[in-house]
Amino acid sequence: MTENEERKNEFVGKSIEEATAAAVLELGLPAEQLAIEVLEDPGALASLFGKRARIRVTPPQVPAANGAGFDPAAALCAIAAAIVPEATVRTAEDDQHLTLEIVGDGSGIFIGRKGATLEALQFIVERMAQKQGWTGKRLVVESERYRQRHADAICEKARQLAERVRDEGRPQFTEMLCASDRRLVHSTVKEVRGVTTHSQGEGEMKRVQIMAEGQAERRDNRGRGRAPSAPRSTEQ
Amino acid sequence: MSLKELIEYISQALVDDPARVQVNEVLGESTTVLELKVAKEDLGKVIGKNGRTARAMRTILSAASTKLHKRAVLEILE
Repeated sequence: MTENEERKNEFVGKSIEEATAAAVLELGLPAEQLAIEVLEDPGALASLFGKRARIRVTPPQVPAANGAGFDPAAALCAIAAAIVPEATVRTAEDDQHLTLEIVGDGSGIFIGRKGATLEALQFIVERMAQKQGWTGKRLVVESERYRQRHADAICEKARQLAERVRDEGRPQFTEMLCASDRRLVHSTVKEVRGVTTHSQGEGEMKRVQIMAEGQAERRDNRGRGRAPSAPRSTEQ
Repeated sequence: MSLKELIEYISQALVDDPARVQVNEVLGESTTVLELKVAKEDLGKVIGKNGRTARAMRTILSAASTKLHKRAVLEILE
């Protein structure tokens, strides 16, 4: 839980009772459903001295599937089963994402060329979730560790390019990448000393230029707004 | 779930009026054509911005039809 969320569930009042009443009002739940932890108890007379009671309440645990009855794993499983009948979906959560992993026949059929099928499945499940009022975490569709392997490959390539720039001094470009892949490049290259990065191009897909730090300013001023050599749009 | 049911399932989950989703399967020699009809107001929902939703449905459809060693195309009727 982040600090902010913790703060969100803290209430103050002149007494414990008053703080509890504030919590009940704010959360719209009866006091008996809340787990109340007393953080500061000023005692009976303390309010005279301006002290306040502070409590932290924990609302009853809401199950992960809280999108008005929409179950993303079940929806994805229904679609996956139309492709491979025995396919199942496993879920894993972190604090921001709900990962739906399709376990199929191991043939990569859910991945497709350059992850196209995986992207399509993710897009459709996101759309369905949106339509059905899903308010849970960001959904990620995964299969056979493709996303993990892809991210590793992007980072490795970025590191190689950055080291080449550092050693040879000439700027290098990545391939056309989507925003999340570019982010990986920027953060990976940051770990290599003496080089810097800059995204070039327009639209959803852009290249990342990796260059020596000293060159950055000069190239930036001159090359601003100009597309890199041989700009190819992959968008239709 | 058949290819027809697959497209029905996805479309119904995306539109405002699921009752008016209709999928017609036209069997050809080597290719199956799936004709999707939705309420006029829902057309945008199954096509999406820049045709992204339609493209995603076609990608999923082609994965499903590959497995069946068939070819299936999705046509959205206006």
